[in-house]
Amino acid sequence: MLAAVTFIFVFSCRKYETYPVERITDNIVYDSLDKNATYAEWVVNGIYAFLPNGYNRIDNVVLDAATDDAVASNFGNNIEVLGKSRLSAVNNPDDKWALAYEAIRRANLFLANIHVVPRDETTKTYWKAEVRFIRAMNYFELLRRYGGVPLLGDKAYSLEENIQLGRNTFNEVVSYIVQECDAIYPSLRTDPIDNTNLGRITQAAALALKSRTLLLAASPLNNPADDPARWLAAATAAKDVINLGKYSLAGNFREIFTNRKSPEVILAYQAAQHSNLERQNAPVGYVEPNVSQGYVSPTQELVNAFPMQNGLPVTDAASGYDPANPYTGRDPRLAATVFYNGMMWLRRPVETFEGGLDNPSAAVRVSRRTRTGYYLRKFLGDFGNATDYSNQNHNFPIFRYAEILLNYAEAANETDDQAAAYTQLKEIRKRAGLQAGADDLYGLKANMGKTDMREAIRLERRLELAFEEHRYWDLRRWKTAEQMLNKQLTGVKIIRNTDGTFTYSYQPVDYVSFAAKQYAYPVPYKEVTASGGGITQNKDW
Amino acid sequence: MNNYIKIIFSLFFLAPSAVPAAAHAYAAGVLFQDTARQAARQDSIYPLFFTTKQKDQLVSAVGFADGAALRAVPLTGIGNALTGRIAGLATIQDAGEPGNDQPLFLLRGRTPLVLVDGIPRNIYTILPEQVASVTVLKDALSAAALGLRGADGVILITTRKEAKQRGHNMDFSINTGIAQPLKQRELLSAAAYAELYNEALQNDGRPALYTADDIVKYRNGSAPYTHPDNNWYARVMEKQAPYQRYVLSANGKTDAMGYFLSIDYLEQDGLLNQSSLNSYSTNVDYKRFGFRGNVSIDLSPRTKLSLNIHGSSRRRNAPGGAASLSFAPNTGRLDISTGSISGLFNSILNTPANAYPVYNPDGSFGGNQLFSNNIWGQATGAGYSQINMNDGLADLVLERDMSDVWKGWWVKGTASYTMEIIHNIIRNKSFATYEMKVTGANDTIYRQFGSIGEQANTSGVSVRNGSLFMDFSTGVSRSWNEHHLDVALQYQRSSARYGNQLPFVIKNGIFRAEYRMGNRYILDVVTSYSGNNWYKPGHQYNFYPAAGLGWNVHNENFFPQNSFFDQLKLRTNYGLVGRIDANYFSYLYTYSNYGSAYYIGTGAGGVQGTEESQLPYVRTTEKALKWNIGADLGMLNNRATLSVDYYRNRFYDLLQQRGRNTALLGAPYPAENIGKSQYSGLEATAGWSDKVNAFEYEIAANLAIQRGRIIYNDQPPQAHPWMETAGDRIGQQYGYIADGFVTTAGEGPVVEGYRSVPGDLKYRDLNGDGVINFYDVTKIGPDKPEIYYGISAGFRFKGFDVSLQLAGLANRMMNLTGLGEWEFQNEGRGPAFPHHYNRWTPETAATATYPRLTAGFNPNNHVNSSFWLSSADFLRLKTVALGYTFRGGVLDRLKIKGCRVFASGYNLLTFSGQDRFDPENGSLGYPLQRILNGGISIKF
Repeated sequence: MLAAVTFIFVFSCRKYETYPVERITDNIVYDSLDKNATYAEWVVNGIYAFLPNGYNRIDNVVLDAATDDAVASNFGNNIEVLGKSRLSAVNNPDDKWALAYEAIRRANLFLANIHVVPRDETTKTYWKAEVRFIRAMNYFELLRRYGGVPLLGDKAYSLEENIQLGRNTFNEVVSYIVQECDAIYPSLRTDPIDNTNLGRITQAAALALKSRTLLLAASPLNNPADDPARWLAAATAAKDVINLGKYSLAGNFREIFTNRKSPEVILAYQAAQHSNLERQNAPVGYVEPNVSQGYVSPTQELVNAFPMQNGLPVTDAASGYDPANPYTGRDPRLAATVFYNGMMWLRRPVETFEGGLDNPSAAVRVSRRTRTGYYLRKFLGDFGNATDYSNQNHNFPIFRYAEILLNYAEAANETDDQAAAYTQLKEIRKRAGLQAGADDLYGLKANMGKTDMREAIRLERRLELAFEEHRYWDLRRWKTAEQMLNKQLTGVKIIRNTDGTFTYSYQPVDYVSFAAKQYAYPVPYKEVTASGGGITQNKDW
Repeated sequence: MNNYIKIIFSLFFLAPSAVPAAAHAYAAGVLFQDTARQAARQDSIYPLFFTTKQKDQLVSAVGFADGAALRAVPLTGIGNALTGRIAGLATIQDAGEPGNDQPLFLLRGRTPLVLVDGIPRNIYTILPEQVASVTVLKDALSAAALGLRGADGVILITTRKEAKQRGHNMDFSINTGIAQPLKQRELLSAAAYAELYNEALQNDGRPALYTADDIVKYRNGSAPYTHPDNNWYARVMEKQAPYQRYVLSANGKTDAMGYFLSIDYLEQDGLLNQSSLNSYSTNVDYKRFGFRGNVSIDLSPRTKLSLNIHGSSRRRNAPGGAASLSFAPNTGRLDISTGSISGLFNSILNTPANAYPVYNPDGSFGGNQLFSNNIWGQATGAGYSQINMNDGLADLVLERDMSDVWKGWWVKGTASYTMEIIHNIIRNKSFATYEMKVTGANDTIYRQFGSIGEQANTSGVSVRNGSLFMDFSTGVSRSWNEHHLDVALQYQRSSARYGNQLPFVIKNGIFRAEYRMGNRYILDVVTSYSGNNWYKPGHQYNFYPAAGLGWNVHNENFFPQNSFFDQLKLRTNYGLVGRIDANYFSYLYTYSNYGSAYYIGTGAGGVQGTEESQLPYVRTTEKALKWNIGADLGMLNNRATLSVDYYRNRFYDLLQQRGRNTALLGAPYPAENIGKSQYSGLEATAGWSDKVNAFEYEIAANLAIQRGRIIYNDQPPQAHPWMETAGDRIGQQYGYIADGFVTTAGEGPVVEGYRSVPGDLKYRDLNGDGVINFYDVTKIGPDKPEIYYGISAGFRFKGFDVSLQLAGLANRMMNLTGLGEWEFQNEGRGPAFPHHYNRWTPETAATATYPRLTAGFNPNNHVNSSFWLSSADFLRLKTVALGYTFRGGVLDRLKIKGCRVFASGYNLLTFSGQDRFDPENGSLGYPLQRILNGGISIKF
């Protein structure tokens, strides 16, 4: 009898492995025998996802809905935290601190281990340079948000280490990014890139990052003494991209955003084809299967900033602006940037007049409706005459050539080279489809001095780069946010008359506010306390 | 049979409560409370973890409930029957769906392990009729033998075994009754909603939405399609649902064998209304069939073999939708929720009365862009899903008295196999909703939202668990003069498999020694050396020792022999117990792959990614050093009893992220064994039982005062002292301190960046910087200890018996935020509720108890603050049972030993400061239920 009991205990021999052997350990990822470097390549792919992305990334609206360019269509959108000065060290919808350091860790781990893998040196050299670029790009994202941040170098910390670092200065981070860009430049793929590798980092991307970084460093926010050497460095960096001679402005402004490959795009965040942007941003009056959410309402201020097709501002008596037909004869970029009343979309005119399909009376139960009379059109596919949405390319442009030209114009103007600025602005305006005019100035004032030219460049950046996450940062870098972002924003109220004509009136819809301390984001509170005093909080937070 | 074998046998073959008490209850045919009676008896035997103890030998804090009393309650599961019965064991019933309605247990602040006959089981597989008793092991000594699973305490359920006396008994009972929903939230009518919505819009400086004409139409119902007024609860919910249960059980004993057999069938209908269009049920129905056979055979005078088999098959039905499962190996609790039910009740609380008509004039489901998901469609038009849960187990126990070899020696072996399979059948379909628009005199168009889909049938096995448990024990029990010594050694191995994971193996070596002198002094030592294979080798095993001392003062010569004091016992114990939370091989440094990490090339195809998994950390068990001291008192011929216990449980090595978890690491910090907390408290149980002629009665009350504190949580120094959380009550709530209403626009202090208008909340500016932000967040909940109490009472007179149970709790706060509380949530599309009538308006500024209304999220008012805290204290009449037993006469001639007719109720009355919802679960989801039950039980 007891023998039987004992037997039960004896037969429990080993039938399983002692730990899950299917797990991928680090010596499989960085395998000294894997000539294909399969896992290592996948690590690089994973790091690519840490490039900055844009579009409707904050509570379904674009970052620029926290500026005077747009408001969220719905009330209580989280973007208001940024646009209405409710930002804090524990509530920041655009906090990138943890995400950027995650990217930096991944890059550093890769750089420390890739030497083990016997893949061909050419590929490994590319990978290392690409990963270093993404690391530098993430430092840039930190830099413009928080100012100086801790530089980790090539170090990937372990749990056992007590990480108590101090912040490096703004200038140290700038130098680090610039040095990295210079160092990796020779190792990167040359432009233009082949179709197979489209989306990978190229030499031009390194130059573009350097240009953007040096422009940030030269800008009034970070260059209070207006050191001309900084502007010169920024101008040179932008000119380097131009001198590369590999990029040009695309012929069609709209197609920059929907063609997978464009002569203008230096680096874009690559994504699968989808129709999410159309569904998020197009007017709300469309039915299944094209139901759209209209999350963003561009403001009248932005619409007014677009000149007439002759390049003259609408406030100019000579511009030919007709208040009864406010959208005719305008800069073609207006129609490529916002939906306005009467524009064709999915085979019918957009109706943002009061009671129209896309701005229905309050009693009609739609998710939300435009607050300004406009919807966001930029980046969307060409569905004016289509029946239904189809998947489109929606790669967010991180760097495009037009920005480089504007960077160059801005820096050159500050170094008193207005002629260079004229050249760039004219090129941009020409591509936009503005008329050259008799003076071949595309509506620009002749003989502008530094100050006028500065305003012209700033306006051009607002129009050309609208909703590409530039204005939000530009207003900060120019240190004009306090003036530009403390005001009422307006929208249009359109009444359809019985004869089919429209009457336009303008009304305040919302406000935007900005406190001086917002020029730098607060460092996340947890990081300040966890650093044991090493990381100091930004001023007034 | 000698003494020790009696004790062993009592573990597996005898009812746990003292033979006379149980026999008495059975013979009387009455399911009587006997808490007080039990406490008074010195010879009551308590089942513990693989051992038993007689009351006067016990030196640990143990709660006990007799199965007969628990079975008197009209419940489908054993969990809710324990409410209020045992000091220190609190239950919180958070869900009411049939088959998913077992409560969360809190034993001295922690979630205890549930064991059946010593082995972890899913509580839903336990059928009340099979329960002989429930023992709650509260302290270190009683749970020390569990080693790394003992720290949170144990609810030990013992199943019924063979009859005590020779002969055969059979009992057939029928229960039938109805279940009614407990309090549900009130919803506003369409007209009331529209008026408040207009007011909210005006408060926000936006134009009104509803015209006076609209409101008239809502009020008089003259335009039901364009101006509907729905009460969704009335539409979706029935007022009551039937419930029935049939149980046949038998036990008996002959010379060579004994048995207990039980077959149990339950059918409980859900409270959802059904559509006549469906040939199938979309209701939340629950069906359960279970059986148990516990048989023991005397192979020889010294050898006993017993076989227990159990099986149950349970089926839950629900409207179409996905089911989700989570399984906690540590507690054996299996949580199954059907998303369709929570989704349905969520929709009700997110949809105003005027959102859309249930049906359009053409019979299609109403809907629109804002509300494209028709609630009635969700309930009846989305197909259905079934969760089929099957489990089976077999225990084989062989034991032998080895006194023929060596006096007092015994050996015993146990093997138990359990398997559990959960199989989902989902027959979903999608439905479209339509918005009607009258465009002309005879022209109506319908705009479609969503799509009509074919029924899609899927099925899958979501849980496949199997576990094998083995125990081998041997021991010696010897007495000489007035000394008695019991020593036992035990080896246990349990191996459980969950899905495709490597087996979860716990090995446990146990040493027990008990020394008694003259039944006055007791020294009890239990040590476990146990470990688990999911921890890193070298960190798998630990010692968990515990020791206790007891003094039966009443057995001393100096103890006065009078009828006032009958018994006085003092006892204390101290020990170390563990809590396993191994997290599947998380000590390994690994990478994981994921698809479509990025997109490279003009082909727009996704490329694979690889990334670091959670950083490894070498975990050990969480541990607790527990101290318990108590006294038991019997007075007035043991009619009055009192037990008092004080405990202090210091938990350490608790898993939590370190405080300095900087993001500069670039990866989330894993949980580490660094936290410390302390639970302390006082428990008292008092009872009185007596008999006046034929009138027997008893009353028992228990009280637990419990305080849980964070001792150490590694929080780095904070900007202000009020932001420090070490020392706070566990579960403390944090937020701003509300400070009245704004009376003039722009007044503060309010949330930073917010532009206040009259009627907004003001907050206390703790750091004096003029604005309210996270620097002003502090603890807002009460700091007082939690209190749980219960009262049981009953009497028996001739054939009548009555019993009742009350349970209550105090010093708990609810945070009334979000769903069901705030007005017009979800971008303003949500509903409002009757309590919003108490809003601030200029006229009601002095009496308002709610801020001014906002059409949507308000960043100042709709944040955590003391304003939203409200007392969750309540007292419930949990059960009342009335019965009358017929005996003799005609029944004797029919060979019927007894016949009891009874009526009982569950959740009959609730006393609480909250009048809008049930204070236990908040009435946000499927409601808790009141059960009214009647039946008959016949004994042969």
